[in-house]
Amino acid sequence: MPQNTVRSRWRGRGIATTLLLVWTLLAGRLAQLHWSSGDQFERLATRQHVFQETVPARPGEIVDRHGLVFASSVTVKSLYIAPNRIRKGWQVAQQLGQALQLDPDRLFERSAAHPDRQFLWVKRRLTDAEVEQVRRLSLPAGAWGFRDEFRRVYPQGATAAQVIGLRDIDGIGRGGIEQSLHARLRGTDGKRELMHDARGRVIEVRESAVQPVRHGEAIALTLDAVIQVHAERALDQVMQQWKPKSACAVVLDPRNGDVLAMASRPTFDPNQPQRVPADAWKNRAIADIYEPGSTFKPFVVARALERGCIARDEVFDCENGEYRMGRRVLHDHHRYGRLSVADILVKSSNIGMAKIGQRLSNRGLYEAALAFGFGNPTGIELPGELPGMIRPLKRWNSYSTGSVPIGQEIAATPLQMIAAYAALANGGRLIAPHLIAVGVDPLDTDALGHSQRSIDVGGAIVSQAVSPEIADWIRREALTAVVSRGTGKKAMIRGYDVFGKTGTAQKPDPVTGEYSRQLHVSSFVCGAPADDPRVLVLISVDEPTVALNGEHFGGSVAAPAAGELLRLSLLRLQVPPVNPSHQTALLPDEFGDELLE
Amino acid sequence: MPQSDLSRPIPWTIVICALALFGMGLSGIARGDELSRAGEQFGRQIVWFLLAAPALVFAARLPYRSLRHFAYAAFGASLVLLLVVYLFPARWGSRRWIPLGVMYFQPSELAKLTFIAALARYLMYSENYRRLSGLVAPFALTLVPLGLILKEPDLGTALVFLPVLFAMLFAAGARLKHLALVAGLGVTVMPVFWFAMSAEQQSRVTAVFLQRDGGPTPRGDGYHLHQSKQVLALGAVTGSQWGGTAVDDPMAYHLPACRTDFVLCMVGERWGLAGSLATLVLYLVLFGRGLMVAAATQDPFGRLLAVGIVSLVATQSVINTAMTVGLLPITGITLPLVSYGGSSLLFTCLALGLLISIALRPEYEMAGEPFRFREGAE
Repeated sequence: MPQNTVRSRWRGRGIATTLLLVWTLLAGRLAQLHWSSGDQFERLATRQHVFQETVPARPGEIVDRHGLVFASSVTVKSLYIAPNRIRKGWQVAQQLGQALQLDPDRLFERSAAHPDRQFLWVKRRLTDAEVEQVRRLSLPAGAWGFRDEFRRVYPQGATAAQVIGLRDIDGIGRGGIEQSLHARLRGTDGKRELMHDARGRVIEVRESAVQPVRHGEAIALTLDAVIQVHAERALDQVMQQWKPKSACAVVLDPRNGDVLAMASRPTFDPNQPQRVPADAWKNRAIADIYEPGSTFKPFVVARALERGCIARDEVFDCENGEYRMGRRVLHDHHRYGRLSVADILVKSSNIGMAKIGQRLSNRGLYEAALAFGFGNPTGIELPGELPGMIRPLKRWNSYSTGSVPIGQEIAATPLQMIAAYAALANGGRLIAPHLIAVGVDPLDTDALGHSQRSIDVGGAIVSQAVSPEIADWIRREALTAVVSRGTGKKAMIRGYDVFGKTGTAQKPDPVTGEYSRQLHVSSFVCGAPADDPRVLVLISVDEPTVALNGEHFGGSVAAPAAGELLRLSLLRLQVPPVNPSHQTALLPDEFGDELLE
Repeated sequence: MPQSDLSRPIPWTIVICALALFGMGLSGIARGDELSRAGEQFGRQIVWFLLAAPALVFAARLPYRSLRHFAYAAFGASLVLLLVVYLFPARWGSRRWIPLGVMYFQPSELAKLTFIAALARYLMYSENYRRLSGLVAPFALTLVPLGLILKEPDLGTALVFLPVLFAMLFAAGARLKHLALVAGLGVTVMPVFWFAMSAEQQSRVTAVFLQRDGGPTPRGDGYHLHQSKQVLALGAVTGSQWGGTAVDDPMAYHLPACRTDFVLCMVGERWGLAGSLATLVLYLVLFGRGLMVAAATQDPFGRLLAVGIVSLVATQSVINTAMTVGLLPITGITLPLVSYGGSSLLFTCLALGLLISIALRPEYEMAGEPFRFREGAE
């Protein structure tokens, strides 16, 4: 059988030739890949190992006028992974899940859903212990990292919560200064480039020259934390005693418009943003409007004196408590006969005010309201301020002539009210109240010190509302007497001449639309010393529960708390008593012990 | 009956080529371990080698002719095993394995060998393959295991059977025009296969035609091929062993199955063009020496067995290399001796052991029915 061998050999050669041909083809293709297309692939690959990273800007602090911190930012680490660099995704997910108490299945799913992403948050704002745990895991290098983030903390808790506001988890300011000055507080994030080596370690960091990080500005407020705390306590006391729907307090320096304290109830703790009751967000001092009632009366009198409609020594017949204006009959709480202009304010006679209103006419009343800033927002640096409400003059009628002088038919915010009183306290100048202390380095606490230092920020003077003489006369003759012998007796402070005005505004009943006998806004504005006012205090209480204490008048509900807050503010500002012996005999008994401490 | 064992020198070329290819594979697997930061397969492959090397020696010492007697039985047994896989739950979407406690046994690896033995047994005496109708039995012998393996599904392994059949028919002496006719028929029914393929298989095929060298990284099926070519390109001519790592980004080297089906990329990345070509040359030398063994064997069973073994290993390496460089669709198939994987290494060593056994016993054995070559054959 030698022929078999011969034939087989021929065919074996055929197989060999086929193999050789195929092999040449494969070898050629391999050579092509190794050689010619290398450059294209390499360029693509090199580009991928430089990463751009955001350098977060540190949000600025918020401090009070003496540098006490209301809002600050602490650095915390947040963990991210780069899914495109993780091979054993399930293992990594399990390790991280265990270390951070996360669900490993969910983490793996999230990571697997974006296999080519370079960045995926795992958990934000880790505790120090968690950071240590993650470091100990020895995850694949280059596939994970920490990014510094900032967590907002509010060391003063709920103090001035509505003024400060808060920053949510994404760093967006919500409410208060945090919202209105968000752009300044936030700063601008920067960029930097990270070079990774083959093992994914960072070998070089290049700060971007195009976009360097600019940290947020620190903001100094005009608030005085001590007075703020007194205001908060005063409101707590009011809330406890009168169980009202809401309440607010404002303390103002009438000379320059500095808001020294601004507090609202109900309130919240900005450190726990997830537990803020819906109604606690509202800053009552700027976002609640109400018909002011008697507290509006001095502005009408001032305007009437300014216009010469009435004279200071004029006497009005108060009709023994019942006065018919057209179809309307006005009443006073007590029957008064003839009252001087000053006494009309001291006794808060509605009939006397209506007669002055008749002298001024609707146009004069309208101008009085506008002159003292009603109907326009004060422009304070807070979000959500309401302008109050004054109807256009053409819609006023004969009814208005009797209503406006006693503080009805118009509506104002507590801040507008106290700003208007500031004009009576500083010689007639209407100054825009403000919260931001400018020209002060908020971080230089040494320079600020805790001394009684006036921050000369020069609140913007809106206008001269009334001449200085008339403003002084109203304050000294009428408003001081309101406290010394009128409706505001409960706000008296030993050693100081206190001036003030009560207000008890009826609220329209939501059911009937008529003025309610049950629902009131009781307010009290006061200031001291009467000769050279340094502090103004306003407390306004919405719907105090009448049944609890029998009385709802501003003089009963708000005046004691306002007087106490005024006293503590004077102490804090180290305003010397003008007349140590004065008024002692007039102190009502129920305040004796407390005020004589 | 001259039955002189070890009457011929041991074909050391085969042994050396096999060892060299295995060594190449180890270096590639080590590089793969390094790049994927999971260094365990290098060590395991060495353990597999310690099992596979004795298998080779055992097969080489085996008097291969005794296989004739139970070639059909063995083939039948492997067909049964191919059915048994369907009793076990699917792993990674296919039923290819029989769990054996510590390891998984892949019957298709065994079936490839027993198929060659059975085919050699059938073609050994018969003259039928000279007639067109005589080709029915060999094709039937092929299509049964092919169908079973295709159903697992394991397209890569199934693809190996037809080239092996053609090579053995060709070597046995089938008429070229018959083979051409059958091949032509196969090409004609290709569209039918296309529609029978799953969407995934179809998209792998289209990925071959849509590929571009370089450019941005594609998604989906193009990704694997792109990465495969990119890793070869990053190896460049010199390779990372001498030239250093080309780029720093580990993502550039990300390549799934880099130590099994795509091990050639790791070899090429590490040793550059020289490493890739050296692998091909080693295979070529191995196949050439294998064909020489076939040619030198007077026993028709041994010759056909040798041709079958050479074509089996050759087909696998051609398909694997072609898919790595983007000339064929990506199918799961190992590069014999080089890829990581126990079953593949073990059965390749068994096959090469048989080849050596044939080389050692080239004499024709007198048998009851002598091998006859038909007159008039080309």
